[in-house]
Amino acid sequence: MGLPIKFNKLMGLIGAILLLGATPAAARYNEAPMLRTKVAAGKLPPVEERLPEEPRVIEPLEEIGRYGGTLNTADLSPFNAIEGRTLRHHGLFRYSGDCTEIIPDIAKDYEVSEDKKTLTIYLRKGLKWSDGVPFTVDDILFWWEDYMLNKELSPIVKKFWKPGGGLAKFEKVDNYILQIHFAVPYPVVTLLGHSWNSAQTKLYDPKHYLKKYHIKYNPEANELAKKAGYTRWWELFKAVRNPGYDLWNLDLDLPTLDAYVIKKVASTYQIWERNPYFWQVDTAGNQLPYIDRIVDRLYENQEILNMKVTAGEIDIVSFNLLLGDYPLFKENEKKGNYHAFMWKSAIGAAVAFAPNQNHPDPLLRKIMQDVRFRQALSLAINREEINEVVCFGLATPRQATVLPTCSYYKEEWAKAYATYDPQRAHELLDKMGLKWDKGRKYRLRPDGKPLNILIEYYAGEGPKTAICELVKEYWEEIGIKITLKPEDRSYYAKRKDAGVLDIGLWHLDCVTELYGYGQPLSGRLLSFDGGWGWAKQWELWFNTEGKDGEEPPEEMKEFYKDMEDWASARTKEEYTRLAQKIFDFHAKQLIYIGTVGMSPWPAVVKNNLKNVPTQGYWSWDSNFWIAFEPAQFFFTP
Amino acid sequence: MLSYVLRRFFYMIIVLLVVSITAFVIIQLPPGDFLTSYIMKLKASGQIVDEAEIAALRKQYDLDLPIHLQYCQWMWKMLHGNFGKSFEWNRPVKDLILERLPLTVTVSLFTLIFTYLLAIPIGIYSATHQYSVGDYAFTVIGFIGLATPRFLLALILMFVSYRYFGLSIGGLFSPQYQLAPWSGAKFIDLLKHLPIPVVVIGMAGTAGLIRVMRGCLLDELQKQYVITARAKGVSERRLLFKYPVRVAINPIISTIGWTLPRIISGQTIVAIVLGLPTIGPLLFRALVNQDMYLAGSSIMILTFLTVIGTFISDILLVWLDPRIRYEKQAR
Amino acid sequence: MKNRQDKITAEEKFYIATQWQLMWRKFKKHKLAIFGAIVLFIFYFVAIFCGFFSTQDIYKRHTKYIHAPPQRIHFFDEEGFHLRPFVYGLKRKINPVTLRRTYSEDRTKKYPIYFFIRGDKYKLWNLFPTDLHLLGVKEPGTIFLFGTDKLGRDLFSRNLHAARISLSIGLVGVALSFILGCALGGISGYFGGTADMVIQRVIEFLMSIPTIPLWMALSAALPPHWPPIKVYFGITIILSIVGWCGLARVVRGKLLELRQEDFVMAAKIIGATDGRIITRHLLPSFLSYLIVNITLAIPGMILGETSLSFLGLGLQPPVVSWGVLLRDAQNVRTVVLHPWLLIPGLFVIVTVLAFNFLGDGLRDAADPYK
Repeated sequence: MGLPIKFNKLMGLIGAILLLGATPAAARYNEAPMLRTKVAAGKLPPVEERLPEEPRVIEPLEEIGRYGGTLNTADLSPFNAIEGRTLRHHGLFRYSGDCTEIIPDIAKDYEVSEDKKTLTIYLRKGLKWSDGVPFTVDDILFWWEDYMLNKELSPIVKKFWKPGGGLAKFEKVDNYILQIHFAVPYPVVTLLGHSWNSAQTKLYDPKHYLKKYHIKYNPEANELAKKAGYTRWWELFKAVRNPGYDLWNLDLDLPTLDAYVIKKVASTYQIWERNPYFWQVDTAGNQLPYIDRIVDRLYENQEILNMKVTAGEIDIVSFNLLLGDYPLFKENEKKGNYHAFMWKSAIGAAVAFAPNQNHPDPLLRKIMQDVRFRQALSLAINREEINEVVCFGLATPRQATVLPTCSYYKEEWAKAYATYDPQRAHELLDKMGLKWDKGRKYRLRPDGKPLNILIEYYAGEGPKTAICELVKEYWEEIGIKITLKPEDRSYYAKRKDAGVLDIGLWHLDCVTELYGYGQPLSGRLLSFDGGWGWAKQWELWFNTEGKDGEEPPEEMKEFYKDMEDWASARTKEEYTRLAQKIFDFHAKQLIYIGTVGMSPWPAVVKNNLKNVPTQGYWSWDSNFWIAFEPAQFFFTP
Repeated sequence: MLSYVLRRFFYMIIVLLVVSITAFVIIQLPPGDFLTSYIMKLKASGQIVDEAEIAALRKQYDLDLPIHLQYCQWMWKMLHGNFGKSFEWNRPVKDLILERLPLTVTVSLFTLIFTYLLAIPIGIYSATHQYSVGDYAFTVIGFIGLATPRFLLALILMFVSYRYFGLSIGGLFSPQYQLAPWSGAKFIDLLKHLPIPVVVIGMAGTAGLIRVMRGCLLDELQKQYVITARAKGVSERRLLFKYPVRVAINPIISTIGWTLPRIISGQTIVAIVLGLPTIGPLLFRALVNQDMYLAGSSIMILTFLTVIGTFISDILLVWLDPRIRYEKQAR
Repeated sequence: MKNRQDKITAEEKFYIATQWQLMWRKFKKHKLAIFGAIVLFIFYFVAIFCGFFSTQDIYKRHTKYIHAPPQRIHFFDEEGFHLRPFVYGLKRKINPVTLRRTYSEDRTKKYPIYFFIRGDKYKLWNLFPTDLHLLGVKEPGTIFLFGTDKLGRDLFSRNLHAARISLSIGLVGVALSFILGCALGGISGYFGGTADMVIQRVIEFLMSIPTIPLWMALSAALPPHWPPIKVYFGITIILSIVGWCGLARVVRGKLLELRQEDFVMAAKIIGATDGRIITRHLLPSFLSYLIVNITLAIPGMILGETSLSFLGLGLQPPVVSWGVLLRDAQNVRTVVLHPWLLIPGLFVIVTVLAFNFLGDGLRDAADPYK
C-alpha cells in the first residue's frame, strides 16, 4: 500500500534532480508560439526565467495538448460572471472535485502544526506575477497588514480571522515561508480553498502595483484618487484592487497570478490572454495554459445564450445552463458540433425551506417552533414527484443535509421524514391542535384565523419556481394555505435580514466535507441564518454575546457550542463525533426541509475541445470549473 | 423662424427637466436598493459583510443624503458629464451608455427610414388601387402587424432566421465580428443582422403610417383640382406626384413626433428579446437589479433621443414647408 | 309598383332616420367590423363564464403528462363514424438520451366526450360553487385541447381563465383613461387659456416619452409584497397613465370643433335650448368619436399588459393572463419543442385584430353622412 506512493515520490525526486541538473540554456520547458515570438523579439525573458523553480506539474486528463485557439464562453450577468471567472482563476489552494482533499495550487505546500494552531504556507520560489515581479510572502503580508488591518479599507476584521476571540498573527519566516498563528486550534486551511471568492479571504495582493494607491506608501494617494474621479484614496484602491469575484470592470494593468490576463473589457464581452508567467506546466514540460485566449461574452438573457449554445458558438458552458433545457441541447448536439452531458451537482437540496422560528407573530412563531409542524411539512412533500416533474427523475429525493461523500455521513439524515406520507402529516397537525375550517379546506391557527403562509423566494439559480409551485400544492393538501411570491433577490434579502419571512427558501450548497466544514457559524447548515433567516433573534443574541436579540433555548445554545467546538476539533475522532452530533440535531430538529438533492447539472462542450471531463461534481463548493484544471483544456485542429 | 426655434427649444428643455425628475422619482420608488442586493450576494457566497462597510458604501453612493439632495447631486453631476457609476458593472454609466448609443441610434434610424420608405409607396399604392387585392393584402398585413406583440414576432422571426437562413441569432454581429474593430466587412455583417430587428420594431409603425398615408391621399384625390387636371388630360403619374402625393406626405412627415417614441419604445422590448447591444436591455437589467444610476440615466437618454429627434424633425419641417411655419407661429 | 314604393321608402328612411340608425346601417356594411364584434362578443362571453367553458381546474397537475401536445378530437375510429366525439388516451415515452418527453395516441384507450359534464369544482364569479363544465371526459381519461404546460396543467382551461384577466385589464384601463381623458380634455377644451396650455404641454410631454421604458420602470417600482389584485390595478393605472392623452386630445379637439359647427349654429338659430343642443346634436357626434377612440385604445392596453407580464414586470403567477402564460413560452425550447405554449399569443393577436376591425367600422359609422 505504502510502496507505490513512495515509489512515485522517488520518481518525482529523480525527475526534479534531472530537471535541476539540466542547464538553463537547454530548453527544459516549451512555450506557446505567441510567447516564443515575443521572447525572440526580446520583449519577454525566456520561459525558464518566467517559470518558478518548481512549477506545478499538471497531468493532462487524456493527452498532452497543443497550443493555440480562443475559448469562447458565456455569462449572463456581469455581477455573477462565474463561467469565465472559474475557467481562469487560481488560488493558493483548491479542493478536489468532490471537495475531500486540499490541493496546493499557487502555494507549493502547507503544514498544520501538531496543536492545529499554526498553519505554515510554503510558496514556490521564483513564481512571478503576470508582469514579471516575484510573488513572495510580502504580498501576503501587504494584504494582511495594509488591507485587512487598515481601518479604512476594512473597518472590521471578519470573525473568520478571530477564532476564539484572538486576532490571527501572520509571521514571515522568509520570502517563501509564511506562518499564521491562531489562539485556538483552527482549521483555516480547509477554508482557503475558496479564498478567491471573497475580498476578505483572498490572502494576497500585488504589493508592488497597489502600493502607489495606498496612503501608507504614497502620501499623494488622495490626489491620485481625486484625479481618477474618486474622493478618497481607499475608494480608488478598492476599485483597482478588485476582489475579483463580482466585478466585471477590471483594471487592465493589475498583475495577477491567474492563467489569463485581462486585455479588454466591454459591456458585452471581456477578452483574456494567456499569462506569460503562468506557473503550471504539463508532464512534458509545456507551459500551460494551452489555449491562447478566453473570450467571455455577456448575453442579454437565457434564451439568447441557449440559442448560441445550440448554434455551436460557445465552446464551453455549464454554470449558466438550466436542467430543463437539456433536451434542447441534446437534440442539437450534431448541428452545434458539441456534446452535452450532466455533472452531478454537489447540492444537498435544490430547494430547502426553513420555517422562521423567530417569527414576529407570536402565534406563528409557536407553530414554527413546534417540531411536529416541520415534520408534517416535510412528510407532506412528494419528493418522488418533484424529481419526476422537475429533474427528469435524475435527482435524489432527500432531506436537507450533507452529501454522502462526507466522512461522517449517516444515511438516516437523508431519510429523516423524507418519505411522502400525508396521512402522518395530517395526524401530526391534528395532534398540534390545528383545527379545520368549516369547509375542511384549510386549517386554522389557535386564534381562529386561517393558517396562511407566505413563501417569498428568489426565483433564480435552479428550478425554484417549479419546485415551489409543487410544494404549494402539497402543503395545501394538508390544509395549510400557501401564497407564493417570487421576488427580486435584493428584496428577498431585505425581508430575510429583517427576520420577517414566514418560511425562508434557498438552495443548499456548502454541504461537502471540506467546504461544508469551511464555514463555521456562517455556512448554510451551520448558522442561524445561512440564507434563510430562520432565527435572526437568536443569531443576534449569539453575535452580541447576549446583549441584544432573544435568548435561544438551551438546545440551540448547545448546537452553537457544538459548531464552535467542531471548528476547533483537534483529532479526527473529535471531528467526526461533533459533526455527527450537529447533523443528528439537524435531522431531529428539521430546521431545514429539503426536497431533492444532488440534481444533475447540464454542461455543453465543443467536440474539438479536449481534456474536459464529462463526469464529476459540479458545485460552488469545489469552485465549478476550477476543479477540472482548465489550463490543460486544449483545442484539436 | 428663429423665435419659433427658440420657443421649441425652450419647451424641449422643460420637457427634459420634467423627464429627469420623473426618472429620478422612478428609480427611487422600488423597495430595496442595489446595495442590499450586493450584500446578499456576498453573504450568499459565505461572506460576512460588516455594518461599517455597508455604511461606507452608502456614503460613497450618496445614499445617505435626503432625496431632494440626492436628485440635485445627480443632476449636478450629470450636467458635468458624470452620470454616476453603475453598481452592477462597476463602470461609469456614461461609458456603458456611450458604448451602446451608436447602435441604438443606428437601429432607430434604420427603422425610421424603413418605416417611411415602406409606408409611403404602399400608402400611395393602396390609395390609387383602392379595394384591389393588393390594397386588401396590405391592409390585412398591416393590421396583423399592429396586432402582434413585438416580442412574439421577434421570437418567431429570430427562430426562423436561425433555422432556415443560418443567421447567427441574437445580437447585431456574428461572433467573429463582434470583437473586431470597425471595418467594411463588419459593417456588412451589421447590415445582415439589421433586417429582423428593423422589421419587428418598425412593423407596427409602418402599418399605422400606411393607414394615414392612404387616408390622406384618398381625401386629396377627391379634390376638385385633381378632377380638373384629370379632365384636362394630365397623365396619371404626373397628376399623382405633382400635387396630391406631396400634400399627403406632409402630415405623414409631421407624425415623426409620435413615430419616434414608438420606435424607441418598441426597440426597448425587441432588443431585450433579441439580445441587441442597445440601451434597452441595459435599462431592463438595471431595473431588475435596481441599479439606480444606470436605470435613471438610461431612461433619460432614451427620452432625450426621442425629444431631440422630434425637435430636429420639427425644425426641418418648418424649414421645408413654410405653411407649417406660419401655422405653428399662429398657434 | 310595389318595388317602387319600397325604394322610395328606403330612400325616405335614409332621410328621416335618426343618427344612431344611420350609424348602425353604415356599420353593418363593414363586414370586418361585424366579424370583429362577433369575435369579441364570443371572447368576452367565454371569459365571463370561463369556469364553465374550461374542461378542468387550472391548477390541477397531471404530472404524467408534462408538456403534452394538444389532443385531437376524433369522430372516426376503426369502426367508423361516431356521433359522440372522443379522444384517445396518451402514451408517454421518454427518450433516454435526450430526456425529451414525447407523447403518442394510445389507440387502445378511447374516451368519449360528454357535454354538460360534472367535473372539477369551481366558483362561478367567485360566488356560486358548482362543478358543471361544457365538455369533458370521464376519469381516468384526459382532455387537453391546447396541450399542457411544464407542470402538466391544462392549457385550454388556463387560456380561458387568462382571457378573463387580459380582456378585462383593457376595459378597466380604458375606463380609467376615459375618466382622466374626458375630465382633463374637457377642462382643456372648455376653459381654454392657461389650463389648456398646461394640459396640452403635459400631454405633449407624456406623448414624447417612449412608453415601454416608462411602463417598465413604473411596474418595476410596484411594491413586491402587494397581493395579486393590487398588482392588477397597479398595472392598469400604469397603462392608463399614457393612455388618457389620446382621449384628452380627441375630447378637446372635438369640443372646440363642434362649437363652431354649422349645425350647432343652425340649431341655435332655430331656438333650440342648450340642453337639446347638447343631447341631440353635440353628444351623438361626440360620443361616437369617443367610442371609436376607446375601442382603438383597448388593444394598446392589452398589448401593454402582455408585454409587461412577458418581461416579468407585470402580473405574476398564480394569476394567469395571456402575458403570464406567454412568459412560459419565451424560450427557444418552446418554439422548437412545445409550440402549443404560443397559443395565448394567437389569442392576443386575434383580440387586438378584432378590436381594430371593430374600431375601424365604428369610425366609418361615426360619420354616417360621408
